[in-house]
Amino acid sequence: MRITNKIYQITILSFLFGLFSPLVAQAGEMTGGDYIIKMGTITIGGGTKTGPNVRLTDTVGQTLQGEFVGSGYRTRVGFQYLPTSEPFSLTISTSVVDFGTVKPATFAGSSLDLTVNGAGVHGYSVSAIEDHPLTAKPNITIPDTTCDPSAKCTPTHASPWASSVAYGFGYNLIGPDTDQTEFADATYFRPFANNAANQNPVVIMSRQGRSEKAAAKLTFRINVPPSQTSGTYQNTIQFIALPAF
Amino acid sequence: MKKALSTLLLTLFYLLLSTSVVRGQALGLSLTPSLVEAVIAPGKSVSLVYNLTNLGQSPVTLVARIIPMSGDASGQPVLKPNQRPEWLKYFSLKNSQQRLNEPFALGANDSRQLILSLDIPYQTAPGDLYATLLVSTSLPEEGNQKQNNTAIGAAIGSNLLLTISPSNHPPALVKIENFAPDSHDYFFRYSDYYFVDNFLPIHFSATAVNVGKYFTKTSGRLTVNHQGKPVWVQNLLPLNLLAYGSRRLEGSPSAELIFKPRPTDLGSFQVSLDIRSDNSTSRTEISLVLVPVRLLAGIIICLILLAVIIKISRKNAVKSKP
Repeated sequence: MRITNKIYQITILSFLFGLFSPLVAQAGEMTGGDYIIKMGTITIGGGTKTGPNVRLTDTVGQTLQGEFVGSGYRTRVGFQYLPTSEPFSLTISTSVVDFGTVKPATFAGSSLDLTVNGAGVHGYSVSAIEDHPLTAKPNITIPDTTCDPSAKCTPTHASPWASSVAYGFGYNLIGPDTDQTEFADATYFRPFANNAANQNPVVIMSRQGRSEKAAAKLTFRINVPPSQTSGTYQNTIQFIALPAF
Repeated sequence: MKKALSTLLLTLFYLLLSTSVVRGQALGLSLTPSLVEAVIAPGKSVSLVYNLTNLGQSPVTLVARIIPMSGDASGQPVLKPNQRPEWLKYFSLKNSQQRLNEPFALGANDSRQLILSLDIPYQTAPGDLYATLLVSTSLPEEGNQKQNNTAIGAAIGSNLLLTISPSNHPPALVKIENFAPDSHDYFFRYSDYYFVDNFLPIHFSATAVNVGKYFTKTSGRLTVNHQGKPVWVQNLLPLNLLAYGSRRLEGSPSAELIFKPRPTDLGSFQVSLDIRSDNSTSRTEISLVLVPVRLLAGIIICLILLAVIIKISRKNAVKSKP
């Protein structure tokens, strides 16, 4: 009888252990002194975690709220921020933008889509920079556009580009989180900031305040003079997505 | 001869800047958490675990870097990639295969945990460090392709707000400045009294200023009182205020600081803004005088119209009399 009771107890204990062990696995690891806090694996994370010499907070979504104090640490878990439903991400519709055959004095172009998800409660920004203007060996360039001669555009200021004798490389933006006062319509363009000229990345999309999903269409445009030397022109543009804090 | 020449010209034209069409696959990166705040004592170490995911359909080569940053008044980070402060060496990756500033591969739709270690030397002076963990796709080598094209790179960041201090709760001092209704939401001001229309929502703006040497997180509320009783309460979004920095206060959930009066709300209302941080509080107050401007304007217009109609109908009545 006593052996049967023991077996029952062990079975119940094993069952309870099995029931709760997944929660323990999800809670991640916290250690005092030299801290290791695996926030990415704490699915109920968020709030503040403190130890004798460390206090950390993060913004991972959570299901529990409250303050938890243990030996060598204090954890405050709660909806410190309004959590996002998905992680912060940037998606770009293509990794290479092909311009096809570029005919002199004729606008050529292509476009890509930018999507930002999970930016959170304070918003985000996406900025862009080129490594250098479109360049062919041995150092022949298609210069960055200055748009129509009557209204000069710069990396931070768009202006109309309709003249087929205005040459260069630039872009237009459409989207709710783009600056529509800059890009008033599809004829407004500006050049990318140029890293080779020590320019800083320029913000092309941003939002203050909560943003779950945002999208924009970026249209490239090239126009070259008849005197442009033939060759393979290339450059790289980097899009940098940063969450606000 | 003429045909041959035109064919040659067409061929040359085609060859000029010619390309073969290449479609690149989509690029995508996600990085979580987006923000880590920590107060760390000198001589201590912290390890932070990030989840990095390649959302694209093809493998990518990535580089993780720590970039110093500052913030603007709306909390957007401003990266300073050309700065190389001494404290960058406090950071390292504890992964066996990945190192900061060195490329590593990540398969399509694959995820990886990056364990960022922060080791603060004993001699480090108290103060704040602001940085962004930036993971970017490694840029392709140019000149190996046979097309006119622009290669696209993606980079995604996560912000680190760090305070080096022996205390878990370093002193903070936060002030509220420029608390007022938006200029288009009131029609008259006398001292701290703002005359507003009770039929329209009233938007406010205010700035929190951190005059301390450590970053702090503020929260609080906007309260509208009438005859000593609260009639409207709006919580503020928690904001991270960098040392000696300022930020525009935002209300929850839309970021707007707003009071929507009821049509029956008339007279004097006190609007207070309270913010608190770890060990600092601040409060400021203004007064609103709610006037039914639209209602009065509507009544006046109706009365004028009524008077005009009566006048015209009387004239017509006089004219129609024989």
